[in-house]
Amino acid sequence: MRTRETVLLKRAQAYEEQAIAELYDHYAPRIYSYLYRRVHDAQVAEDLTSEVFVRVLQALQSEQFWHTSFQAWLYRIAHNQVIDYYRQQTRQQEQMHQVPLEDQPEATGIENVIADPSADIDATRDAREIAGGLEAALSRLTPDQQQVLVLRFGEQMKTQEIAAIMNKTNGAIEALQHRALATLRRMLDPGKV
Amino acid sequence: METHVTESLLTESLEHLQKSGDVATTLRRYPEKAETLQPLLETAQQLIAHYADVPHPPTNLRDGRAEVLAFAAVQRAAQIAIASKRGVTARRPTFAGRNGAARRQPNPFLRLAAVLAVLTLILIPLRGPLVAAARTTLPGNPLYILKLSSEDQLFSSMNEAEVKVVLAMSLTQERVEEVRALVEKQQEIPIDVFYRADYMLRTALMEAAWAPEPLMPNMLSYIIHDARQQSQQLEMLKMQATAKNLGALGNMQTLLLKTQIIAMVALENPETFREAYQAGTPEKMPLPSGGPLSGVVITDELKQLVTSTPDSRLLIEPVVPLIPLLTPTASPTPAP
Repeated sequence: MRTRETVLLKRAQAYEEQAIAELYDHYAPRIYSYLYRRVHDAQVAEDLTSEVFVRVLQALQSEQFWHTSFQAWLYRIAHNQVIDYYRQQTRQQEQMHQVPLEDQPEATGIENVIADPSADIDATRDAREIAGGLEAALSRLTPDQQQVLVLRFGEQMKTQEIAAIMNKTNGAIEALQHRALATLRRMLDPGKV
Repeated sequence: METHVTESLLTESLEHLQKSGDVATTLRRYPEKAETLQPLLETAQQLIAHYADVPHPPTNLRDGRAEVLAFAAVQRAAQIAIASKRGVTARRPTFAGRNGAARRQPNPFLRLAAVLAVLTLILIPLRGPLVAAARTTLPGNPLYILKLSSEDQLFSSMNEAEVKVVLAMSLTQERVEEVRALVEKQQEIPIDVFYRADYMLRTALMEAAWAPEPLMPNMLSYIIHDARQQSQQLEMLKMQATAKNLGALGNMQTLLLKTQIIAMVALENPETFREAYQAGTPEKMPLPSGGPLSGVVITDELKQLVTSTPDSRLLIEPVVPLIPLLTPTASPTPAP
C-alpha cells in the first residue's frame, strides 16, 4: 500500500485527476469523520475536508512533504484546519459581543431544541444531557488532550499512529492519554477518581 | 516508573476494551489494577460511544470532491501551459467565433498561463505610485475612479475567455474586500459596488460561455466555488454590519447566489448555456426543477431573480433565507 500510495502521490503532484480522485475517495471519509468529531457540524466538517485536500495539493507543490506517513501528514493538516476554524470562531464571537444584544440574531438550532418544553422524551433528553456534559468537559481539555482522545477513540488508532500524527514519542502519547482520561473523568464524576 | 507502568497498562487495557467492548471483561484481565482502571475504562467507553455517532456528510463529499478536482484541473492546465511555452505550437483547428467568423482554436492550456500573469498584475502594482495608492482606496475616495479605470484597462487587455473568468472573479473578490473595509469602518456601502460586482459576475458567466469546451466545466466550477466563498465572507460580515449595510450585504449575496445557480444549471446544460450567453440572451437560460438544482426550492421570487436584470429596488430586503437552500448536487467533470 505504501508503494502504491507513493506512486499516487507522485501522480497527484502532477495534478493527475485519477490519482487525486483515488486519494480523495480513500481518505476523505476518514478525514471528514475526524473533522466532524472536532467541530461537531457536518456542513463545516465537509467544507473543511475539501479544504484539507486543496492544502495537500498546494503543499505537494511546495515540497512540504510528509516524512514518515502520508496519513499522519494528512491528519496534521486536518488538525491545523480545526485550529484555524476555532480561531475564526473566536474572532466571530468577539465581534458578536461587540454587537448590542437587541441587534443579535435570534438563537436557532440546538438552543431552541433544548429550550423546547415539548421535548419531553426522557431517554432523548438524558442522552442529550450526557452528550452535552461530555462535550462540555471535552472542550475544557487542552487541544493536545482532545486530539489524542479523538484519534484513539474516534479514529481507533494505535499509539504509534497517534505519535506519528502528533509528532511525539509513544511514551508521551500514553502519558497524554492517561492525563486526558483522568481529567475528563474528574470533570464528569468528581467522586470517582 | 510506577506511572509509566500504569500508562502502558492503561494503553494495553484500552486496546483490549476497544476489541471486547466491555469494561468488566477487560477488568478481569487486570484484577490487581481493576480499581484504578475502572473509572478510566468507563470514561473511555463513554468516549467510544460518543465518537461513534458521526452523521453522513451533507452532500456525501461529492461537492468537495468536485471542488478539489476542479482546483487540480486548473492547476494542471497552468503547469502544462508553463511547460509548453518552450514547445512548438502546432497548427490548431478552427471553430465559430463570436461573430460567426472562423476563429482559431486556442490551446486551452497555453491560455491559462495568462491567468497567473493576470493575478500577478493584480497583486503587484506596476503602474506608478498614483495607481498603486488607488488600489487600496475605497468607494467615495477621489482616487477610487482611478482604481476602477485601471481594472478596466487590465480587463480589456486580456483576450482569452478563461483568463477573463478568473479576473472577473478576482475583481468581484476585490468588491467583497471593499465591502468588508466599509462594514468594519461602519461606512455605508454605495450602490456602485453592487452594480460593479453584478457586472463582473455577469461578465464571468458570459466569458465562461466562450471558454474552450474542455475548460468550460472547470470555469463554471471555479465561478461556483468563488461565488460561494464570497457569499460566506459576506455572511460573516453581517454580525458587525449596520441595519442599512445588512440590506446591501443581502443584495450582494443574492447576486452571488444567482451566479452560482446559473453556473450549476450551465454545468448540466452546457449547450443551452453556451447558446444563451454567446448570443447575449441570458434570460433564455431555462431553470430546471431537478438535476443540479434538486433540493433547491425554485420559488417564483428566485426565478425572477435569476432571469431578471438586477435592480436594487427589487432587492431592498436581503434574500438571506435563500442561501441555505442552495445544495448543489452537480459533479462537474474536469478536463481530462
